[in-house]
Amino acid sequence: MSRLAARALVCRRGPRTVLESIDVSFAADQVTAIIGPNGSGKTTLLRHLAGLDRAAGGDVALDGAPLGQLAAGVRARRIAYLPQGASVYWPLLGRDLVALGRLPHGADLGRPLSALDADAVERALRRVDGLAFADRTVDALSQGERARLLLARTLATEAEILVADEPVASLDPAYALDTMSVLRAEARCGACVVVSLHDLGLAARFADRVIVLAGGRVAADGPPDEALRPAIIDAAYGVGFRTVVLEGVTQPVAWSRRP
Amino acid sequence: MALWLRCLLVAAGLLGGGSTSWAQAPQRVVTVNLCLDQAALRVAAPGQLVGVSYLSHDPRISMLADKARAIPAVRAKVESILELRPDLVIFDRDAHANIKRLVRKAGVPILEVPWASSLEDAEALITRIGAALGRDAEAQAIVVDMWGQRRRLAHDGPPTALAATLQANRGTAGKGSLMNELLHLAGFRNLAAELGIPAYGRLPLESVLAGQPDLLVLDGNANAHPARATEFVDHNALLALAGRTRLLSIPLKYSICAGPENFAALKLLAEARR
Amino acid sequence: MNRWLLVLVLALYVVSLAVGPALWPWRLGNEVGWAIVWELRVPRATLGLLIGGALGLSGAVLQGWLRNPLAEPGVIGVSACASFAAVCAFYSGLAAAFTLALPLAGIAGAAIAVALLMTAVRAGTGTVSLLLMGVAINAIAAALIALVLASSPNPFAYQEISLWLAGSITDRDLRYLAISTPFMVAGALLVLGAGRGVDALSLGDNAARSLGVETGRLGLRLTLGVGLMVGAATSVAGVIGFVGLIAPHLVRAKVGYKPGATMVPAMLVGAALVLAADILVRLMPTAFELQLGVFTSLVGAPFLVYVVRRARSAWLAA
Repeated sequence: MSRLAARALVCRRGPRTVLESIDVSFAADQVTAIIGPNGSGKTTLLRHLAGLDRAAGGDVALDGAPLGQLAAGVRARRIAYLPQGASVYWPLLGRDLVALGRLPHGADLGRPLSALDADAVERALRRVDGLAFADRTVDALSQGERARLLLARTLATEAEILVADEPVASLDPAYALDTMSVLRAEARCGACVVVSLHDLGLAARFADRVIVLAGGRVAADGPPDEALRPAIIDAAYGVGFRTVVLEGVTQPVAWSRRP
Repeated sequence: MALWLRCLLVAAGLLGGGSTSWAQAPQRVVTVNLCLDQAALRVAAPGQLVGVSYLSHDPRISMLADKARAIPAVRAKVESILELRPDLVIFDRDAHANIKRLVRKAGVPILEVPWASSLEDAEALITRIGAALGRDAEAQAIVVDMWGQRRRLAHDGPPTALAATLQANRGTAGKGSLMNELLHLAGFRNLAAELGIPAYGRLPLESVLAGQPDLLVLDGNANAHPARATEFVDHNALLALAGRTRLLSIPLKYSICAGPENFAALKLLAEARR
Repeated sequence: MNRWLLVLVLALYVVSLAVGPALWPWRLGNEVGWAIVWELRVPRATLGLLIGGALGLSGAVLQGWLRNPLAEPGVIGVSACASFAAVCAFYSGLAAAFTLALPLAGIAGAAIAVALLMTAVRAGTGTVSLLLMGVAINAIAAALIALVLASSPNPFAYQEISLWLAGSITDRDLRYLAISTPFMVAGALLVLGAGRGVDALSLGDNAARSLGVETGRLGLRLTLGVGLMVGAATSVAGVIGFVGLIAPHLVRAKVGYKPGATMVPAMLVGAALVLAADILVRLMPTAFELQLGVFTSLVGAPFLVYVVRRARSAWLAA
């Protein structure tokens, strides 16, 4: 059953139409990767899916009900969102940072966490393998460690839907692989994961389904093998792709400037 | 100097540093300081004074505002002084040296006089300006009148009652100030002076209350246009002195400069003493 | 920690009641002694307590909200703007005719300044432009204050620019306490309930919204809260700078840098700082009592330099 769905979604930024009539739905137990070149509308789509922006037309529905009708607190418990290039503005303790994910459940950093919240924080930290540095301040961590804690913050909400905007951008391969594994594990546990990616190889390997955005429209939507065919992504990116097959997974590789 | 001796000297024209005969007297005199304005306004012949400070036009601080308003106001700017084509400019000795230098450089003679902070100083100042303006007789008449008033209004015997004065910013008249002299003449001890506060020191409201003076002198109208400096006049705490302390409002213009106007203040003080 | 801070604040409050040129007024044992305590020392000590608390809390709120360790009502011009509005109400005689005009004007001035600054922040600019905006607002407000004072018919008004740009709580009577306290308390209650929202903002605006924080409404609430506190405080005392900068910094490490948890201790430290400063200016052997605002600048401005130098570029560049 599809949980989250964009229905004839139209988004404008100023005079520019960023998304033109998008119709996509997202199922539980799946990692859906959104790919597409810069400016294709990935971030805009994810912001709308997370309920942050108001659509110019159409809507986003959660279990059939428009997201806009949901109270902000309820929405926050059901959809967790990791913004692109997420940052922390204060040198918080790692554990406190993760606990921010419990705010929708009524947690207050000014008081000791309830047993329920503390457990959720602990679980989230374990899932990103972050217990080792949870008691250090985030300014003392590497960028990769910080990114893991920010992911754990999103997991700590224990929402049924997880929307992550380029969670692996600017991470080195080890962290990128770890992050994708975590997201896939979430989907295996029943979550509906929507993640935008620049790395088509990771999309091919970790996603159950790939949506290709180009010029504010859905250019392809299907299993990675289908959606990542050179015929589609050549046109979307304006680059010539070739493919290699590694352990049964087809990996697109940008090969020449002209398609 | 004994009073009688000074009488003689003034009569003989020996005090005040050589007087000018009317024929040689300056005909276009400018003063640029409120207190010098007041002295000059009293002494000068009609038309002889062609410029006074703008402050003298303000009836709240100037005794002779009516008279002053007939005369153009100057600010302490060289241009506005020279514009009046003066043949004498009278400065306070503490006035800005640069202005004095520029006026002198423009070929205008200047007279520098010391600041008057007592009745005696005021008499000397009037005599001096009278001499400079060729108006000795007028100056002398004023001085003699001041002696008379002082004799009439002065309190006999040592001062006993206690008084405190409060001015803007809780400023007070402490030791060696004009108001201190007036208070003593009227038979009051001065709270501020007894607390060791200097002439232009500050007197905290708390000290006023704690001193529980018999008389509190302030300018009751000072806060008609509100300012932080004068809002203490309406402070609730002063109400606690009601029934114990007499409040006396003395307009600022009676005591801001040393001069014959001080006797108006002295009269009010003497009445309060009774 | 809060308990100890509370004890410190109460101790300083008692000391503040006990310090003054009349030494021990209660020995007078009559209505004059009573007036010294009740009409002079109680308003002074209580205003110190409340204004210090309001400024410390406002600093913590602004820093958390703007995610900027240098945001402070004085530094970024909120106090100066409040001061200008209060000056308009005070010297025009409006406040004399309608007592509440003074705090209300101050509150309006402060709220307008906060709203103005938020446009700069929303335009996506960083620390530097926030501070430059503050410099501009401070300069404009100071100039406008001078202009208004120069037009006052009271001969002393023009010398009072410094009083409004570096405030004081000397000789304010109970009326001042009465017109400012309700607003400062209301403002404090408004912002103290917003700790979770401010915490969420440490992840940025988008993440905070995804956590269910309605950042627009939160901003309105904080603008109003800071406006009420800084506006009412400034309208009775003038600008008392740097308290809102120092207080949160002193406590932040102790609460693990959590912006929400910084608020209450920063409020208490602010109250302690202003009470202590106001006791010191009374005890210092200067010929004239130093203005409270001058004293806090004397201590606070070097502190600003220290914070700027110490702050990691990572936390400042954001």
